[in-house]
Amino acid sequence: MTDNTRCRWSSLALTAVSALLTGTALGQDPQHLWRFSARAVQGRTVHAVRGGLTVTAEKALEVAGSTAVFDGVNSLTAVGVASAQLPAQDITVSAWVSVSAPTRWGCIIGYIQDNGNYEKGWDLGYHNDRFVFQISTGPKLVTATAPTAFEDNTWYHVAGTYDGQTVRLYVDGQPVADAAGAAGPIAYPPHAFYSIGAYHDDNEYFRMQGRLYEAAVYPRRLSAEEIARHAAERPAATIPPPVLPARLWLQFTAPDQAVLHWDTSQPGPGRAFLGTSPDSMRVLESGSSEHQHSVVLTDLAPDTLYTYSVGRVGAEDVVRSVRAEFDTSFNYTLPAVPAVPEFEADVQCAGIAEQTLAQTGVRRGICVVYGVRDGALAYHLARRSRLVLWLVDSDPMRIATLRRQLNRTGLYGVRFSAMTVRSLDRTALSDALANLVVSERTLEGDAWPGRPDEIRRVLAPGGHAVLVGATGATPGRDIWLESTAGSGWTVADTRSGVSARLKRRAFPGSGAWTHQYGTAANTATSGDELGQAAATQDLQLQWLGRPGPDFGIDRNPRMPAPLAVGGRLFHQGMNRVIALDAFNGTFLWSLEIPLLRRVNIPRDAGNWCADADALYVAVGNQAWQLDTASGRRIGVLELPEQHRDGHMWGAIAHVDGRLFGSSVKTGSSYTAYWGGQNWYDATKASATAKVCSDALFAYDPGPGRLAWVRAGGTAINTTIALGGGRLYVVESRNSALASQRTGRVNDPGLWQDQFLLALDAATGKLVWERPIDTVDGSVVFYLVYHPRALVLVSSGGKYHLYAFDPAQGQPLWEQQHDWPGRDHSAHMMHPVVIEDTLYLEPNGYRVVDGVKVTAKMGRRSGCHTYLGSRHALIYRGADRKVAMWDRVKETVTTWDRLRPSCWLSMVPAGGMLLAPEGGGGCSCAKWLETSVGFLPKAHRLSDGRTFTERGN
Amino acid sequence: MPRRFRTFSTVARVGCALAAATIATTSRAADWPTYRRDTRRRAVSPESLHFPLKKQWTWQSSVRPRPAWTGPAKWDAYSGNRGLQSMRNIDPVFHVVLQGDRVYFGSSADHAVHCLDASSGAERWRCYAEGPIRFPPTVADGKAFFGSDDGHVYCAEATTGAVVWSFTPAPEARRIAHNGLPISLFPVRTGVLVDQGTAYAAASLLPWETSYLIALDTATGKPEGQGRYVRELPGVTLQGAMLASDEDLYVPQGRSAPLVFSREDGKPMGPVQGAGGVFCILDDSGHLLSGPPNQKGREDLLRVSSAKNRTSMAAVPGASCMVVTEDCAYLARKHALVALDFKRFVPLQARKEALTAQRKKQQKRGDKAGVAATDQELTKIAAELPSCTRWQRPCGTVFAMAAAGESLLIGKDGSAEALSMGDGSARWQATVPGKVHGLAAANGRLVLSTDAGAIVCFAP
Repeated sequence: MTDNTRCRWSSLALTAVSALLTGTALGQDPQHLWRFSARAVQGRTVHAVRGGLTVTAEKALEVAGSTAVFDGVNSLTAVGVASAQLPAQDITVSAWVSVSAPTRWGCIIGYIQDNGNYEKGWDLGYHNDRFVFQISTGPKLVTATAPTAFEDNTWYHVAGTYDGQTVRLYVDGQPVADAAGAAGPIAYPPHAFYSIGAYHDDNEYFRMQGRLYEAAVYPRRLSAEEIARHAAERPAATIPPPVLPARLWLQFTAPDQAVLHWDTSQPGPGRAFLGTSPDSMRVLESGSSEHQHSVVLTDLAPDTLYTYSVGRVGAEDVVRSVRAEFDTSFNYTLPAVPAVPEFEADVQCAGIAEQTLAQTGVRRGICVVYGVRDGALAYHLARRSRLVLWLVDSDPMRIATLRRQLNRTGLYGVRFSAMTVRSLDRTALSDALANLVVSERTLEGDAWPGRPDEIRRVLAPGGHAVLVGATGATPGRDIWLESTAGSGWTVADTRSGVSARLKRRAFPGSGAWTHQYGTAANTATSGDELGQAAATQDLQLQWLGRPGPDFGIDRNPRMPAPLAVGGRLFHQGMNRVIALDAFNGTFLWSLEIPLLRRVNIPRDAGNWCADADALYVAVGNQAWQLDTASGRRIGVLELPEQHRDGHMWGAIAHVDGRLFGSSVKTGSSYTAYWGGQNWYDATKASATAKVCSDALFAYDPGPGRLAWVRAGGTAINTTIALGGGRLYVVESRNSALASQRTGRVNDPGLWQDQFLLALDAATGKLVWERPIDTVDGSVVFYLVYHPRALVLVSSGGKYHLYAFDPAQGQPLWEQQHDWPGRDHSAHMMHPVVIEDTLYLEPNGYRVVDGVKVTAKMGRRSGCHTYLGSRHALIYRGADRKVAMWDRVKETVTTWDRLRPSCWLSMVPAGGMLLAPEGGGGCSCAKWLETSVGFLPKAHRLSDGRTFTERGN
Repeated sequence: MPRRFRTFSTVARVGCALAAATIATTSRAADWPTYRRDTRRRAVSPESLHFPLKKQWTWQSSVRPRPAWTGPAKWDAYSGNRGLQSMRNIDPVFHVVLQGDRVYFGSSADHAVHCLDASSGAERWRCYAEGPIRFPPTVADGKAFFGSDDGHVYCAEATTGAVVWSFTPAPEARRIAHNGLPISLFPVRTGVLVDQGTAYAAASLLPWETSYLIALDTATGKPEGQGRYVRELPGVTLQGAMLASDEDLYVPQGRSAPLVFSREDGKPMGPVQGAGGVFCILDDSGHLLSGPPNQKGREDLLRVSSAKNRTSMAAVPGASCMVVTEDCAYLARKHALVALDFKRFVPLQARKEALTAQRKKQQKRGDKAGVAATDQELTKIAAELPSCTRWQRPCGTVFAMAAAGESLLIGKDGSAEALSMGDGSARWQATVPGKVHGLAAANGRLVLSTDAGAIVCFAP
């Protein structure tokens, strides 16, 4: 099992039914009934509650709560069961099941042979993400298939019935599909496997990933009322998880080490179980008896997949969470520098290193040492930080000596790299990549070796240059310092050994990508000038490397966008987050969060946002505030109490210090990614149902005081837009929607009783509302805020645009145009608003009046959506390569063999174009499959220029 | 075009010349002087090993190898494919070469070429580049030639490690960050192929930047003289050990098909149809064996192409790695090692694939008679193909294969084995730390390289 189970636990806990243990709650007569309590499961054996039929697992069956965990390599079989022991004709098969990984052929319980044209027996199972009940009464299996997808990691009651005529499937007590074509007795094969948790016949053996609470077979057709009653009698106290899966995360802290954190719903001693296979788990005690627990995992092997679970030690037993996984291939932490006596003896350098790190706050990234002495300062900086040291000098003898000395750490080439340059006045280092610049030569009282503008050239925005060693040591250095007057150097406390510091300011015109579509206004642009770059040749590669294609889910399921702010880039993978330095790609930190995943973002809100200090991530029913520098969890916000039960955190935005959120019914967000249907490109309901919220709310800055909550309507998450001190949203007040079990709304009623609302962002009070009646946005439905117009984009058969006055809500203009295609995102593009123009392939419209200003947008090719910098649209264009479209010249340029994800995986921010790997997974060859960062060539400071010339 | 030569002092050059005069020798038959032993990367040595071999020494890196690329993707979720294959796994270990009583390797971890004493494992010298080194040096005429991610090809004295010359074709010296460390925009990730006084390599990384195929005079490090050049190439990603036939150079590209160039002038001849990946062998029958051609297959990872015509010929079903001798191919399948009569197998398999394609067309146009005739021939081939198998024996996952004398050498996770090439019978086995991706045998020794950063020497 690759995931913790995201369960509707609160719903499942509705009824305390100890009677379930005896089967009396069924009130019926199952011929075979299995449940999976610790009493029933003994090693590999599961004793039946009814029917006396024991089933045997392939290996010891893991039990979590009172549920059996199927991990894709285990299943249960009743040995030696002949068809004569099974219902001859009338039958009901039912189960309480949670599937974590849909597969093409999935079986919950069955007795089947399906080999080529030979199809006999029956099974209750799933085909991809649809439940099925199939039965054979002749040559073929007759299959009743659920019309809608199930949510993975969600509990369902599923039942199939047959009465000699009709094959019927029920989900959660409701009949959802009938299949015709079956008649008379069941056609059984001469032999088959009576299997639970596996699709098992003579030539196939596909094991389930998920959990079972119960499986039952009845020798008659249960009525719809009986099944509904059974489904309503949800299992209860016996299976709630001891640990909320949402509160589980792991951070690698050293190449062989990680810290596992978890919160328990009840206080008590915590325990973690860790191993490389379920049969070899080691036990670690957290040492805490409170709600919050952590253990340090040591001696982790490289490139190894570990499974783990956590739990609380209860009165009688350890109650464990379901099992999760982490892979040490994604442990990118740098090794710590070991103590080297020769360097340790240099206490002066140790002190200066301490001061340098303390005064600049730079502890990760790249430090360039301009001019070397013996490597002692570099050593002490590396030893006290996670910096990678690049050492340059024009003297090859010094470099050769330095390598030998630094090699004593065993980490030359990992934490240190030295190179000879022709001149320190102008080195070969790329521009703007260093987070810290020092020189060891100044320790000796020398002036800074090299030109002042060279220091600024290699400094990344936000980076610090530090002149170490005392001022006044030599006249030359003081003269050098004087020469920098007016250039930003500040003379510091010389007693600390740090004489002067320089911090490089942000690139002019740089922006930030803090929300799914750039800003909370959903404009899909950061407004970044990118040094006026409008073509690919205006940018140069600045960095490349990890994460690679193994990091992510796949290119297809339309994941949340990366974020970039404050010189850091944040990117989501498969239930994991990584932070990189935006200017040099250096690894900063990563977290494994088993329940992070959210996909099909064109029909939902993104699950994170950021500012320079904090990353806000929706995880389960909470929002986590993570320190952007370290990844440490520094705050947790819960859903408002009245909207917490049965809900998860939906939309998330952070504007003016206030955190905005929404609550969605549990199981509403899309998480499935396996199979072509989870490309979410189709126009059918299973791909296009909109995730909607039951409540909107905001937390004030500071300690997290709830500012306001608004509930009542069904708010479409993709229309939540913030700007001008207001929150705008489209909600339906169709009362029929509120009673739906899911917030993933496919009901045509969503397009009825619709209102466009403007709320005061500070108070939540209604500023204005306007009933709207758009063409149904059956494919996608977006809202974008611009100070002069709110623009709704509704895609259903073609694109329809509706603009409203943000101040009062009056309609301004409408437009429409044909889809440029019907697949590969052509019909579901998110608009881009740059300055006063809204772009939606292939047209650009003036925001203020809707006048078409261009129909020559660079044409998309392949799945992706457009995004904007100040001067260009960036997208997947000609020959499916990453392309830039010059807004003025209306010309297209591309990067060969570079591809993005199928939604939005590149962002212009901080003056860089950042493209963390998002395209991996395609079976095809060719693509570069690596993360890259581009620096505009205009940001370069060339020879002969002083840094003051750019005022930067 | 700007060129960057490094010059060294007269003293150094004189010293180099003297040293070269002293030790310049042609490789002995028993040596393993380049990656996979020869310019065709056959990994086949005539040297017989005398079993049992005993562990002599282990050289252990303080950090594991740091490969150029991560990946591959875990799966193709859209298509439902799991177990995707890496197409650019060029440097999982520190591969070694063996020359006389020395062992050489380049390090992706500490950016140096190391020379060890083959008897003791003691380090004789270390020569630093300014970026990771992905392939071992080629040792020829007393020199060690290697390339680095710093964009340079280096020539060092094989006895001392003193750099004789270095050359870069890069038009700019700019260093970018690669996983936080400096590399050139034009890294040399092909190793250096040396033949008849010419050193061949390529500097390449990004398809949107110009790449460079270079042929240098081994004596001067300059692209001067007949058959020496710097060829500019747009739109390519040259990476993986290059190979040479008498006329042509074959350069893998990783996620694109290998390219063929004229040795004489570097003129591009085109890609090898249906090929891909960085595992390549030029066999004695004019085949280029390469793979994987894409990342989705778990079975048909290697393909046979006509080296001369660059046309695809046949798959080697189920093979993940292999060695080929004059008449027999030894290949690792998922659970078995197989010895194949390759001269018979290739035309049969090629015919089978051609007929299968033909059958599809016949079926599409409703040509029942044609289908029947094709089926008949396919049936005959199906009956004949098994007879190409000389022997087969069960085996776990194999990461590397080589041959020495009459012994087949295989690298596995945590162990290496030697088997009889005649019948597959076991001759020897040893345990080592990590996955064995590198095997080299020379002068009575077997040296293994593992992904744990270990180099382990065995000898009688």
